[in-house]
Amino acid sequence: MAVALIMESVADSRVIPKQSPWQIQRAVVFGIFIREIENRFGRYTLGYLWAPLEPFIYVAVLTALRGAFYGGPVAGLPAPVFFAAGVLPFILFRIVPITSLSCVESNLGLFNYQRVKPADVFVARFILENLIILSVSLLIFPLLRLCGMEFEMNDPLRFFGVVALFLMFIAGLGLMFTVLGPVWEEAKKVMPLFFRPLFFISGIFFPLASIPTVFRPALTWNPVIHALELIRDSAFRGYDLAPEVSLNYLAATAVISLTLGLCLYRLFRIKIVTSGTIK
Amino acid sequence: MIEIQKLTKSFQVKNGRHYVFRDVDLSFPERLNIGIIGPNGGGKSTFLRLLGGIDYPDSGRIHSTKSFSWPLGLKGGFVGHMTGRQNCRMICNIYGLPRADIRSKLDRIKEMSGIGKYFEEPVKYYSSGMGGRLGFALSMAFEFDYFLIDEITSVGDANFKKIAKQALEEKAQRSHVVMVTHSMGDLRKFCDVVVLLAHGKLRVYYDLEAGIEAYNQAGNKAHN
Repeated sequence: MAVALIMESVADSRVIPKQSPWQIQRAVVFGIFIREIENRFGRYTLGYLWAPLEPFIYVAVLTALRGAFYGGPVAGLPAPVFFAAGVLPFILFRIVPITSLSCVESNLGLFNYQRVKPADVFVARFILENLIILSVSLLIFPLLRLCGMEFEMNDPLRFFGVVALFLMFIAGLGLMFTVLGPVWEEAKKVMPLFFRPLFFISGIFFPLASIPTVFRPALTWNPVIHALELIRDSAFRGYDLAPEVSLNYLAATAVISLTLGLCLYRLFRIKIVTSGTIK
Repeated sequence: MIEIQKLTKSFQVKNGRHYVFRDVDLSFPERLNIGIIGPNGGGKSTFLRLLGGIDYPDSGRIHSTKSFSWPLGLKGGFVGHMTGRQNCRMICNIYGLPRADIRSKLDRIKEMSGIGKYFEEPVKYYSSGMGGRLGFALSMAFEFDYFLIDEITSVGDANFKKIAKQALEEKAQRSHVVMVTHSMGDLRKFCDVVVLLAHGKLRVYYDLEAGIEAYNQAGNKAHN
């Protein structure tokens, strides 16, 4: 009798509501998003405090190093502002592709549910990483302002445009890495090695304008340095922008990256979750 | 109606390719509970995964307008470091249940699974039986045309079997099962038709006893 009662209430004929593909995707991404938050922070004491820690440490260390040599502004901006505006986007650029490598592997259990696809995991992680960087930015810059540093918004519209292009670039890479992870197992070892040197040549702790003109072509092939320079220039008034920096170049690489990412995902979306083909 | 056309599925193994199915054609009429039996490695679980749309064949296709649950098995489907409640909430979210309903639904899932305080513990501490029970109770919170059951009834104790049987009977108006099992008792209890899966072949027996007989013979052949 008791059993019957439980049953009746569990199955109160609540059919899964008929949902459009958009609704399904939203529901799935939301479900995984909650899980990813749990995954990133839930396991540690004071877990949510870890998120801002990495960028804070970068900014503090770079500022301290810089201050040890020369305390003045960098390319027209207070040094910590300059560093923060480089470190935050760069962390996003590094973390999205690297975590995307394991989108499939670390969620094999979830693909048990027919509606969950690797792209949903990717989108959920992408949103989460963006929100982390956004909230850290909203913490760091007012804090620097409170510390008495002076900076003013330059061109908000252009700023959002540049950020959108940069995010396209990152999203494309992320999708490529989502596919790459299960296809090539060694990628998890190899890929981080490529990101490490990029930290030193992407203009995080130096402005492109400080590099002698002859050496600049050695750096400007890298879309990330364009992005960081453009972000600083559009965000803050009075930034000393090198003339080699090109919005068109960033836009082109962003479009190529996203197109390539979407195509590769489309081609391999079945294969990466099919048993017995790879691994 | 489930229609299977020219289904081929193979696995890359160390020494070449292992074919689970080769050019299988099959169709099931509606409103039947389907039992799947066969020796280990015969492709029973793979068959369920293909039906559930979470794995894909090399070639051929499975066509049905019905909805299928995820395969209810002993492993997979839950995130180890999350508690039973967190896992269930996530899956309710994924299936788009209205948020207002989820909390009460979770309490009922807990009650039906009968795992008690373990519902609030990370799933990695569960025994395989407990994982299976929770998965079953969770799936009962949804409506599907077919529930894909992968051996969970065989690990459940008598009480759980009773609950499972009752739950499925209450849903019998709308829902049926496709069930992988090694227990002929469960087969007789739950199923109307039996599929014998062995050596890359699929055979359907509308007479349960004939199917069981064929299974026993196939088993003997394998041993000799």
